[in-house]
Amino acid sequence: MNMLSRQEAQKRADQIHVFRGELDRLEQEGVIAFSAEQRQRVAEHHRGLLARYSQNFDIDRDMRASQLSLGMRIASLFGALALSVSVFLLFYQFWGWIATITQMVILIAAPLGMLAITILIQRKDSSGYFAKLAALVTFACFVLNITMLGQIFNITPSDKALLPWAALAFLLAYACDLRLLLVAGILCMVAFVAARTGTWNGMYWLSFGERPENFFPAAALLLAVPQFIRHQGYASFPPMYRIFGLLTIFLPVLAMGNWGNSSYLEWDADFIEGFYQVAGFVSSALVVWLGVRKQWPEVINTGVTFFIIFLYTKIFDWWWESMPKYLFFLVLGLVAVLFLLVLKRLRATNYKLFGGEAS
Amino acid sequence: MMKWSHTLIAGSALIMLTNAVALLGAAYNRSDDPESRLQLSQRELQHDRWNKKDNSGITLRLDWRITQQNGYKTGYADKWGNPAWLDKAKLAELGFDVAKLASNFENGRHYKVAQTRDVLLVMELNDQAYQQELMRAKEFSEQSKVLQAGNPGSEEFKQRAKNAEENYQREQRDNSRLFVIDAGIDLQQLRATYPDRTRYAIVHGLVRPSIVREGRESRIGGIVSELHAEYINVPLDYRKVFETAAQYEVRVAFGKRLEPWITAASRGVAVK
Repeated sequence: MNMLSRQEAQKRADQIHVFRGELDRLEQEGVIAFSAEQRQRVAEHHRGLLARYSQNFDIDRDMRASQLSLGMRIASLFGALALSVSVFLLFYQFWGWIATITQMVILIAAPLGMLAITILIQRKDSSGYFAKLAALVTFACFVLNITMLGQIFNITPSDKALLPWAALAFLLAYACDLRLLLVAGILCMVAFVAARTGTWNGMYWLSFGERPENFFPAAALLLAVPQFIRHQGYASFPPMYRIFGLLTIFLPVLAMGNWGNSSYLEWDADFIEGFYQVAGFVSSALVVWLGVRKQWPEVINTGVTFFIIFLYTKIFDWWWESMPKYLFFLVLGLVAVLFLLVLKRLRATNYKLFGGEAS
Repeated sequence: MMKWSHTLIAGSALIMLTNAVALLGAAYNRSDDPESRLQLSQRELQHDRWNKKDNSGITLRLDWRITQQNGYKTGYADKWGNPAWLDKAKLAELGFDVAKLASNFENGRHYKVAQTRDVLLVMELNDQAYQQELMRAKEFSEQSKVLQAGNPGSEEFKQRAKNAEENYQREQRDNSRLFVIDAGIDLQQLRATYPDRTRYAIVHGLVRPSIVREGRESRIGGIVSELHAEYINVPLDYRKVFETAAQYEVRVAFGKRLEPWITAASRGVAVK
């Protein structure tokens, strides 16, 4: 049997509940009739599956459990963020009274200790909430570790610190199936690649944001990851890579569409802005087409969102000053309605216009 | 899912290796004789008192200055502005494409954001640059007094003379004597030009080209936007010196990586 992630087990459990409800309805409407033996066999099979999933993954067995799970996820997130901040502030509160050697020992021991605790909790906690909380605190301890070492020894800030942070974030994300740490790892990696790109072009690493094109290599890397690396058992990770890959393209394009002087290109600023505005429209439309074709809903949504942002930005440029404000917002609303009609039409024609598969 | 043992081994190795690299780098910086060693006081090292309630650490901030491009008129010559030595030739020496900068300027692309570069900056302690600022403050004070004498009864001139004199007193007594006077990319070359390691410290910093306006004329110059060695942590051993004393002397060493650390500190009395 293939290794399942918690999400895949939960998805299967949800499908079983839906199947049960639909089967009952079909039987009531006289569309189908299972024999008692068939019904029993199916019910026993599903009971066994749900019991196994519940034991191994602590899944939600019904709607009420699912709602409680959502609450637990929110509590786990806030708890992790609060604990991470408290780790930083705790150290800042007392570090001035501690000798340098002791500071070093505490700083190195903290992430090592938390890593061990995370592994221990993960082995005992089938739900994964506590392990995820511990993993986030581990990452926070490691960031504190390197940051404070830099401060204690007055080390010149370097983009190289982003690499081990990204590495640990990715390690913990894959170990604990934690998307938040995956995002942390992605952000560290994007910052590192952008900083390196900027450095190779002669600028100081921290100034990488001054030239948004520095983000394009990182975007290419992010989009390539789910294409070339299989994520069996991590069904929710490839969409995160795609979303952040697209954000790492669209946000710089949006910035340069409004601020041509930030580009590496040695053209007239107005021309650069026009170039990137057109590129924004074309690329977001292409992204929507690709998302429909590949059945990647996160890609479709990101493409649509940015197409609308680019369009709204252009409408603002054209009409904000010249139009009465009520009329301006009326135009924005009408554009949104137009989008709804277009997307509805697309759905109605089964995306044939974009070459997607018929549903 | 990954095996827990793999995660533990990989994570532990990553944490240990990263710390080893960081600590070895710090040890390398402090190995052998320091690149330079400056004797600073509370005039050059300000006690950074930000957020003391939640932060028990003590950090000192290097208060560095530049001699202003347009000459001293009033007030305090601080770190902002265009130093006279950071001209087009110096920018070219630092690796900036001055032809492109000039082209951007001539073609009206004034707002094309110019990139910063990481360079080596020379800091001078209590020498020519400081004496120059002291002389300017004195001259300005004397000029203001002459103007006051020529305009008796004028409150405005009286106030100006008073401010100018106070400014001169502060320049003698309180203001930092540490100035950034030059930049380069070759440490050995800079050290050959400024051999006194107790008066000149070389550190990493950032320079950014800018347009310098002098009346109706404009030309390409630059600004020193940052010093990497600006903040210095105070170890526990020296904490008492800075907790209560308003006056102190600190010996700061700059190592092989041009990163600073405190080697001695005392209250108000010169460190041997």
